[in-house]
Amino acid sequence: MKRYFVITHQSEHNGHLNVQDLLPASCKLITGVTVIATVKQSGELEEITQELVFPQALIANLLKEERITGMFYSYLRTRSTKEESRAYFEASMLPEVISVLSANIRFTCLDETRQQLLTDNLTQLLSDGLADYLYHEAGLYERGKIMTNTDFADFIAQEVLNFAYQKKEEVFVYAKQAYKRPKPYECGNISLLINGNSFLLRDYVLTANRKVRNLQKEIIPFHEPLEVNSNIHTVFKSNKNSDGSLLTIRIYIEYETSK
Amino acid sequence: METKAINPSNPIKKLQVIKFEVKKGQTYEFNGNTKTEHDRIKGLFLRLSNPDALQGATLRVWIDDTEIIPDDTEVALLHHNDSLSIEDVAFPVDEKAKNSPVRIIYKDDSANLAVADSYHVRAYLLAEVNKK
Repeated sequence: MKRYFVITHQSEHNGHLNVQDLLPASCKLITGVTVIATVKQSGELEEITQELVFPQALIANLLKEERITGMFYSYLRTRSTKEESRAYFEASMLPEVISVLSANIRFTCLDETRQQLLTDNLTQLLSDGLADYLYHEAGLYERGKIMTNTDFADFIAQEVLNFAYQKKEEVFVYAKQAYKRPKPYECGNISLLINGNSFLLRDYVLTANRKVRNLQKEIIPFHEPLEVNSNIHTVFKSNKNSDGSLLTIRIYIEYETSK
Repeated sequence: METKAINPSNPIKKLQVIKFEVKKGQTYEFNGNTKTEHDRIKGLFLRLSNPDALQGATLRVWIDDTEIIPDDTEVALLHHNDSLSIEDVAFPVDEKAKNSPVRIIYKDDSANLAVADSYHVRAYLLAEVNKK
């Protein structure tokens, strides 16, 4: 049965370490060792923009509203020229589309101010660009001529979705503060000796704040039989990179117990 | 499609989840029991709702009154990240289940690190049930 033993040492102000620890009596065979160094630093806050999940349900909301779908086909297509159609769209339909979308696109992770900001941005984006997009890029007027009523309503909703999706990076984001992760750096060399003569590690370079993987990947395998009352000697030479921070070094010893 | 033959001697694998909430700088002690219907606990891993809290967090675990994870062990060593399969990451143990006590002492040390107010810790026990 494998067991673990942890030895913790701290080095302050780039101090060197030279310490001895007694290994547990049940430790007859060392099968692995790993050393992890961490520094506790104040996390600095930084401003970041976080993406929001794109609200795919937005057209469902749009098509649910009968007053909108009603407008889609009864009026928009009866306009005889493209200009007339567009004027009608901008005057009557666009405000409705905007009001439905801004009422329904809500993110629970946003507080009121941020939600308002998002709604304002969305309103701005739709009023500035949607009509142009529908009439120029999507070809609403031309293509609408040959569609059935339901298809036509679907088509508009789909194109609104397309438009919003293309602009998602401008609108569906929010600013927030996040803590910066401390950067990894080399903090010194460590040597581990068993009973003063057998090296487990020798001048092993320690990286503080590195990403720690799971124990089975971290363990360096060894096969070191021990006598009763063995001790482990830790020598750490700091390379003066830690400034004033407190460096915590943890040594994990994996050993076999005689069952 | 060919189906894999199930080896009848293979015990059934089960999972038990222990979930608790930890606040910044808090030491949380969990006391509970393994499930009566499970026979052995074969492994253990953890996941945090905020992986930024990993740095500096330590824990100590007993199952069936045996200390399987010694004091001051870093949680990062037992953390399951998405690129690993469950089998790979479990901290292997072999202890009796059957309603035996589980005790976890979890210490958060992220007071100044990259963590918001609180987060959830889930400890997963990989259990086995012997077929009757």
